[in-house]
Amino acid sequence: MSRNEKIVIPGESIGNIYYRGRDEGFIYRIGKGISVSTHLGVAHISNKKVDIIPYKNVYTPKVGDYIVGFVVGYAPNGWVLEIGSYVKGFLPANDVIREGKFDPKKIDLEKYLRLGDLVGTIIQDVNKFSNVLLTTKNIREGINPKHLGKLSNYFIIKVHTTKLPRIIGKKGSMIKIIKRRIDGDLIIAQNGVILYKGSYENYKLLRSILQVIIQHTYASGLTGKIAEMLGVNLNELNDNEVSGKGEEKNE
Amino acid sequence: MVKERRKMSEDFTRVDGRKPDQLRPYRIRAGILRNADGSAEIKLGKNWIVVGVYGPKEHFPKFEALQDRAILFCRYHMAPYSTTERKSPKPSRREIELSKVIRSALEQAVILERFPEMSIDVYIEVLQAEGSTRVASITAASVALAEAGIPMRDMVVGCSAGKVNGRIVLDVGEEEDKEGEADLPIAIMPNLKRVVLLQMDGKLTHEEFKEAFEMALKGALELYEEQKRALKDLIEKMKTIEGESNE
Repeated sequence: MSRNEKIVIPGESIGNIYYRGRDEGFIYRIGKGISVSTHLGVAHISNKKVDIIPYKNVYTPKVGDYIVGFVVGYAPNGWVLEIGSYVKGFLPANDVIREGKFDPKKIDLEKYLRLGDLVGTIIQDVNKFSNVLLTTKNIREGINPKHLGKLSNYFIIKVHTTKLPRIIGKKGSMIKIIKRRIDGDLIIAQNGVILYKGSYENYKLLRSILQVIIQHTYASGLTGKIAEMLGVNLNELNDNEVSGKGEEKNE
Repeated sequence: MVKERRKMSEDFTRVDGRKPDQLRPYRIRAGILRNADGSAEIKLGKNWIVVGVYGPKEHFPKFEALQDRAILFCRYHMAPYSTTERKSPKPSRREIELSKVIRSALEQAVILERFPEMSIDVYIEVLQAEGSTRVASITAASVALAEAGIPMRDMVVGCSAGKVNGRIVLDVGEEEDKEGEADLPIAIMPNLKRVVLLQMDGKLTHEEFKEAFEMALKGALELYEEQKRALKDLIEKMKTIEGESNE
C-alpha cells in the first residue's frame, strides 16, 4: 500500500480536503473543514484531494448509464424493469414498438417483451424521487445498437458495481486482456450485469477470472496476474491498441 | 457457591474473575451471511449475536413510505434456545422495546436522506444471551450496515456499566445484572462525540453515574477498535494475490 492510501471506515476522518471522487456520495462534512468517509473503502489521498473506492455501494441510477435489466411487470403503456438498484425502471412502450403509433387497446405488450426478458437500455431521465425512465433508443454515442433492446441467449454474471472499474481496468487494460483470450460477445453494463455469448468453456473461464478480480480488488499487480492466468503477453497488447466501447468507459 | 462469590467480590474480583474495568472476551466478524446485503456477528463473553442488513429497497406498503428519507426497520429477536429457560419465539414486550431503542440509536448514524421512499431492514438475532445484549446488538448492527455499503455519518458502538456489590463495574454480565444494584447501557458515535443511547436501571448517585459513564465510554472505545479491525480485515484480505496458484 502506498503512503497516500488509507483504509477508511464510516466516520473516519480524511482530513481537511475537498472532494474529487467518482461520486459525491462518499464524504460527509462534520464542520470546521473536517470531512469523514461515509463508506468502508480505500481512500487515495493526494494534495488535498481524495478519491474513495468503496468496498460496497448501492447502485444509484445516473442519466446516460447503459444498464441491463429484466422485466418484472407491465404497466398500461410500458414495462417495469428490475435494474439492480433500490428503485425500478420504467421502459415506455413507444420506445420498443417502432411501427406506427402505440395504442394500448390494440397492441399486446407481451408480444414484444415478456416477464423475465433481459433488456439492454440507457437511462434517459432520473427525477428527484428516483423514478427512472429508460429508453432503448441509441441516445448516447459509443454503444453497440445490438446491445439495446431485448437480449437473448446470454450467460449472466452479476457483480457489485464497485468492482466494475477493476474489471475494466485503467483505460480498459483489464478488459482488453480478457477479450484477447475470451472471444464472443461480452457486455458490461454499469449496473453490474455482465453478459456473455459464446462457448460454455469460455464462460466458465470468464467466471473464474472475474472471481479472482472480485476477491482481490485492492491488490496491486492484478492485471499482470490475470494476463499470466490467461496466457496473454502484456507487451504484445500495448502495440495493438483496441479502442474500448462506450459502455466500458465506466470510470 | 454464594459464599465463594461473596468472597471473590470482597477481593474486587467479579463473578467470572474479571477486574472491575475489564470487558468480557470479544470478537466481531463482518460479512458472514452470503445472502444478506451486509452482515456481522459479535461474540461478547457468552453473547452470540448475528445481524443481517437488507436494502435499501422500496418500502411496502407504499403509503407508509417517507417522502424525504428512508425508513430504518429494526427487529431484535431472541432465539428460543438463547436463554437458560425456553423463551417463546413470539416478540415480547422487552423485544419490541429493544427494537425501538436500537432503531433510534442507529437512525442517527445512517444517512437516510439519500434514499427517499425506501426502507432498510436490520434483523438482529440473539443466538445466545448473557447480559448487555442491547449494546452488543448495536455494535454488531453498525458493522453490518457499514459492510452493506449504506452511507453512515459514523459508526455506533455500545457498552454497559453497572453497580454490583457497591462497586462500579464495566460490561455487566447476566448474573451481575440480576443481583446488581444498577445497570447503565450507553451507545456512542465515537468520532462525532455524540451519545445516541443512554438508559439506566436502578439507583446511582451523581458521582457514581459519572464514574459508570466514564467507564462505559472507555469500554465502548475499546470495542470501536475491534469494529475497525473487523471491517479493515475485509479489505486487507483483498489486497494479496498469494495463495491463488490453485486457480
